[in-house]
Amino acid sequence: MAIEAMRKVRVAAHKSVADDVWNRIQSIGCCQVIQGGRERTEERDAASLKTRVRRIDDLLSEVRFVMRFLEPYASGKGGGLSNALGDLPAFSASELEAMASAEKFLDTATIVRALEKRASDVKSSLSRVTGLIASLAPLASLPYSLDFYNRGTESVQGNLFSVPAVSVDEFKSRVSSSLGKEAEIYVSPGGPKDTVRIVSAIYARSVAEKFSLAASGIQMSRIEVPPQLTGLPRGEISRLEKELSSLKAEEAAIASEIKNIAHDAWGLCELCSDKWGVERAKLEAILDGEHTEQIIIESFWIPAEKVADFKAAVSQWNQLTDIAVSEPEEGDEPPVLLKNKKLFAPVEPLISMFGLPGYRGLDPTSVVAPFFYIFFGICFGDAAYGAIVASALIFLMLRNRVAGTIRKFMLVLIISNICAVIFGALTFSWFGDSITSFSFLHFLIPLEKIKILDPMNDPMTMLFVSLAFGFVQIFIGLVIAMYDNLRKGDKFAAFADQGGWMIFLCSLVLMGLASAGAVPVPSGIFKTTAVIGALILVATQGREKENILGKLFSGVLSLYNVTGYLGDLLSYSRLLALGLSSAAVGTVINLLANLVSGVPYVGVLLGLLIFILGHSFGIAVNVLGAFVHSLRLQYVEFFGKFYSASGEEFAPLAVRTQYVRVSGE
Amino acid sequence: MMESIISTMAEQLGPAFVVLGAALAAGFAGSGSAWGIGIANEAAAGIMTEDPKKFVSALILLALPGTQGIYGFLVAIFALLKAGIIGSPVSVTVWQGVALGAAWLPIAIAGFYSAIWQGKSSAASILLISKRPEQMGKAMILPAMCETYAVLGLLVSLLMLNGIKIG
Repeated sequence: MAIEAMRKVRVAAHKSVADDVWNRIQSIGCCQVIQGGRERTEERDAASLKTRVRRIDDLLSEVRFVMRFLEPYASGKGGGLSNALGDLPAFSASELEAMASAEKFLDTATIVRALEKRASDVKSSLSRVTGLIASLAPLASLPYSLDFYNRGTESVQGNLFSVPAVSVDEFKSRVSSSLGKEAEIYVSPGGPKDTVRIVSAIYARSVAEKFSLAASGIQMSRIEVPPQLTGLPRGEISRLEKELSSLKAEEAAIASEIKNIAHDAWGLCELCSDKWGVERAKLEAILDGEHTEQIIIESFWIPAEKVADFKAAVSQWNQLTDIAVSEPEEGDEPPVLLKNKKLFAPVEPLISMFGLPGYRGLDPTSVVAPFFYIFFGICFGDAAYGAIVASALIFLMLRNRVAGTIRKFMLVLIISNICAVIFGALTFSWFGDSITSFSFLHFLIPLEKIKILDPMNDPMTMLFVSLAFGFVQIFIGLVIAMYDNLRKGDKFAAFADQGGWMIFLCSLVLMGLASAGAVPVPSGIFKTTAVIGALILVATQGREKENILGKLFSGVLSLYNVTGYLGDLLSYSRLLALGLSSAAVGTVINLLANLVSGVPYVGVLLGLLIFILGHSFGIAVNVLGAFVHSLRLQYVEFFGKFYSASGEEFAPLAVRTQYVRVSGE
Repeated sequence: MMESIISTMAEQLGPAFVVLGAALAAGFAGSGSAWGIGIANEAAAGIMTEDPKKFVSALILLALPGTQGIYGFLVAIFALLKAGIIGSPVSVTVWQGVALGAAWLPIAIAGFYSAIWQGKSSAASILLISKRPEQMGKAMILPAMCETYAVLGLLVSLLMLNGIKIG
């Protein structure tokens, strides 16, 4: 149990070396900026830095634009699983500096911008031409040039209408009776199923008014012809189709041009994005300090054991810097960095997922870790499953350079799965009951010798074991709470709150065991201690109430909390249930595999298929269940007894990258 | 005549009860899971319209209400095994059959309802990670709170099946 001690370090540096000093601080990665200096800075003293930040922001937004544009084309970007595990290609800082230059990137960005413009122009032309072709399609059979309809001639004008098929004859007769030979009507041919016909009407301008009068009252809509279309519809369509195919060729050409540059450009963007991202974090950190005309003053939190490293790292600027280290003061809330033994440290991310303890609180990692490992082992409960998952993870860790939180998560799973192997072996569960159910595995039956528990046939013993684990963990929770109270000097609370419950709960359990004959002591003794425990609780739990009746009432009422403890304890029965369910899933899969293996010819193959698929499914489902429920027991049942998560995570200024790893020189 | 009818009934009624119980255990718990996952799916598909990369975390969360179906299936298979309907045959009396057939109740009821509510919790958790992906841990714990009661149901069903003496 440990929370790293923190020190406050105050750095004052001359502006001429600020960049170098903060670069160094960033690369050692163990100093967290203490906010507050920024407000004390005069605008003019930090102006040039702010300009630099703006410049980097512009570059970064350009990088994001280019990456968004290239994303669909950059095939094979990232290394899949290795990348997901955080195993990134490594570059030294100077390599990164040389490869990711602003000029180089801006050249690429110009090319990409031009391509993007061309692509979007082509795209809009394509949609325009496709639209025109679609609107011309129903006019294909029209025997007149289209300029009749959008311009007309000096004396003649034309209109196109879409008219409901039923009204076409009426329209024709009205127009011919009213205009006679001064109008020419053409109706496009259509099948009997067409409900609308295209009708062309060409008439002298002088009779335009008469025409509209004749046409009024018929439900029809006028079709506008775009002014750029002038020839015969058929000719226009074939011209547009030619244009369409050349646009498509252009589109393909642009796409292949993009593809050609995509790989290199993407790589450059990754470098630039990381380089400028790191640079930006540093500049922001400098800006968080207090700026005067000549110097920058900034305070950091730093783990006490890193102070010497830090001093050594910045010693080369001795002449132009000043460093003062101090202890955290009374009102300070330093950030929290957990520090645990190698076997326990992997559980730290699980603690920070719940919330870290306060700086002056207790780190529960080393108590949670063994319980989590064992609970996972019991819930997963199968030696072969555990061995498969553990070896797959070990393989991944050996093959890839995995670091940080992901590494810790993998270690948690590896250790937990090793526990599953042990627990599976102790319950003789290898792929469920495969050893006894498949005759060719009978040679492994000697493994049964190490069986000490049989949850399938004797679940009561296993239930007892689960509840015993629960009791131990809850009791430890009380012990920690007691220790915490003692540490804070509240002896009364320690003995009344936790002590009372410890005596009461232990007595109840021992009383039960004694009356069942499991403990060779008469149960009467425990009855007495239980009464003592209860009396302590009744006497103390109402101590905040003002009058004696209130005190007594609250004290008696507090005994009701025993149901809470009972509920918590019974919650640990899930260890049995989940363990049984993984063993049972395995058994059912073996049963099915055995059933089909009797089928002639293909039986063995089918059986093998069911075995592999079924057990893969079993592993997936049970890993998830075992992880979630083991964690829940820590978060709800265990943490409920003593833990309060009030800490801020230690987040030092460091070289944080997304695509590449910056290695030391 | 009458006696032979009664004895045939007595022979067959036991296994029939077991079959009925197994059917209801697998049926109800499975339906609950399908329902719950369906609810979670709606949320998952919703957040993936914004960010398709959330697929894996959403999948983990929406798989959580799926376990009840497995628990029901397990209880069904165990009841059938115990009554010799699959595996090696044993003789089951009417009352043994009724008892084996009643052991379905805890997992079917607790499984059915907890899966639906767990589905709703999963949906809420999926919405949580759409805004705050770093909270995946808490998002996984919340739906698991509902599952506790399905786990207890499974436990009771299995203990019941285990406790009934056959043959």
